[in-house]
Amino acid sequence: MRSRYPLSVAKLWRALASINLFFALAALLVAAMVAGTLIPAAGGIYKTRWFASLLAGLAVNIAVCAGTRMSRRSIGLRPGPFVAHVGMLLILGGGVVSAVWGRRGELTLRAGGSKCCVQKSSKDWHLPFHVRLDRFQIEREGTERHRLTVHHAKQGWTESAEIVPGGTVDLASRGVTIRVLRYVPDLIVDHGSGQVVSRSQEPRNPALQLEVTTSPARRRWVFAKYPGFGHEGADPIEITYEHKPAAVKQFASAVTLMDGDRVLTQERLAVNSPLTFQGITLYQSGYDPDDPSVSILQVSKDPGVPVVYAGFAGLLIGLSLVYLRPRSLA
Amino acid sequence: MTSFWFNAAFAAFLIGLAAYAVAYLAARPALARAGVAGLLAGAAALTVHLLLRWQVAGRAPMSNMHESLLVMTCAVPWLALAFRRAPGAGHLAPQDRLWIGPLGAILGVLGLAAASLFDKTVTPLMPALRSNWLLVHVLITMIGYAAFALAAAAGAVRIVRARRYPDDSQGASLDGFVYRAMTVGFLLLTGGIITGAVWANQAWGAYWSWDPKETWSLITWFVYLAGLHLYRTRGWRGTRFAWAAVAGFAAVLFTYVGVNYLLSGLHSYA
Repeated sequence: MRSRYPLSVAKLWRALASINLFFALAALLVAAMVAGTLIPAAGGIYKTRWFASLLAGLAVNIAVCAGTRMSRRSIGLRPGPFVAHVGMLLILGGGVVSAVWGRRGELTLRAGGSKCCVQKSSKDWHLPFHVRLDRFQIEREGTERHRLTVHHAKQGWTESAEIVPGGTVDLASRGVTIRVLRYVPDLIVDHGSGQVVSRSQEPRNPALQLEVTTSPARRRWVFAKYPGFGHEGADPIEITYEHKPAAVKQFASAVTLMDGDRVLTQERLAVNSPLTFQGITLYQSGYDPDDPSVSILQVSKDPGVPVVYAGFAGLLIGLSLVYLRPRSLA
Repeated sequence: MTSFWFNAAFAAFLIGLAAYAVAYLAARPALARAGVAGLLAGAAALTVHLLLRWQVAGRAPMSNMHESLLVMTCAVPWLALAFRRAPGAGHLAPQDRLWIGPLGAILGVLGLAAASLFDKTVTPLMPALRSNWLLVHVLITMIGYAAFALAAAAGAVRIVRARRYPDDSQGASLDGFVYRAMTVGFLLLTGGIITGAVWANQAWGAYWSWDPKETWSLITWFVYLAGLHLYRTRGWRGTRFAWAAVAGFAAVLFTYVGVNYLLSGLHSYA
């Protein structure tokens, strides 16, 4: 029976449906991805047109292969391969939708401040609402640790010990006793009163006030981030302070979404617990370790996600049907 | 207390491996039962160790290299035992079925030895890992890696046997086991990549970032996809297919270990 299509079209169709084409495309994609990860200069390979064309070629190959090799009867008998291939097409298609119509960016907010303009976005993006950061909170767990290392410059000895605020480092064998009078996690000097105060509970500038029995200046401050600061040159005892903060358990932002002065919603978002409003999703991305009042949010609007998720479901279901049938395992 | 079960698992795998070796060298097949018992005891001890670590840590033990490798090593003997008892195992030649247990024991010993090289400290979870997806994503992926390890080990046996016995007419049954292990691993790797993408979208707002770990897991996926297509459509068997299983596991090792130490990215914890 003669084909109703010209010979050249039929040949092209067979080539596009060829499994050898898949092997070639897979090899090229793998080589490109390997290069993209191992060669620093090639890191932008995934955004190039030729990489996109490889993915497009793969999509065409999958579509033509599924359409050509799978008749309605074979799909009815063995739906797995067809469903898996359609799933892959949906994943690739969803990726295109994300790339073309998806938007992502970053919002950096200080407590009390609000913004509607997303930064670090490929296109200008003004949100349909303002995001105000009411409060940013860091939750820690475990205990912070303090360690003092004492070096006597003239006698040449060095001792190290973990301490607790209010405790004592007893180096009786060296004739030195150090008492920890006070711990301040974020030490500043108040300009008005001249008093030492803690700016916050976050260990941004941890400091210990010590009383050293054998030092000329019995009381001194030691700073974890500024070793040597506060040490008088004549004092042979040098003390270094190491501070290890308690582990961060979670950090979260309490935000208010506003349209002008009208409050739209008030929510809390944390890592792995995003907030979605009017199709836009806010993610707790990070914070500034040097300024715990600053919260960094990722903002995303991606219509490709449902398409990709449908593709994931199709791929998993299809593969399960292909490989978990008893005959296919024999 | 937890190290007792770790050491017990190691000892059980070693004893099982010794029993298998004596069964083979002394031509006493009955001793293979002791090998199975060792494999089962090792799997059970390692499972207890992981459950105790879960209890001590207050979270699933899957947050770093040591813990994830323990999960993978625990999955290997359970999978090996399941493959021995699976309905399709009847298609394996008796001497090939005997290989599954020893391969499980060898991988158990190697896995525990490698796990002991990594930091065993129980540390709190960082905020990015505080999600139920941790358990789902890592568990599926590690069991997939375990299946790939069995496939690669069986592939290595196939390669060595083909060199010793060029007319290995019974090698076809081992090809079938390599294929089955690869399909199980491929399904689970697909599930692992998908759950990882869904979790990434929930945590970071992007289901795919071309992060080195993500990219190498996709490379591994493509390698196995090509291998399975070569088996089904091009009739790859014997040493060619065995080498595909070994090459695939090399990709798995780079994805699992190499990326962590040679490349940096969002996944830089396990």
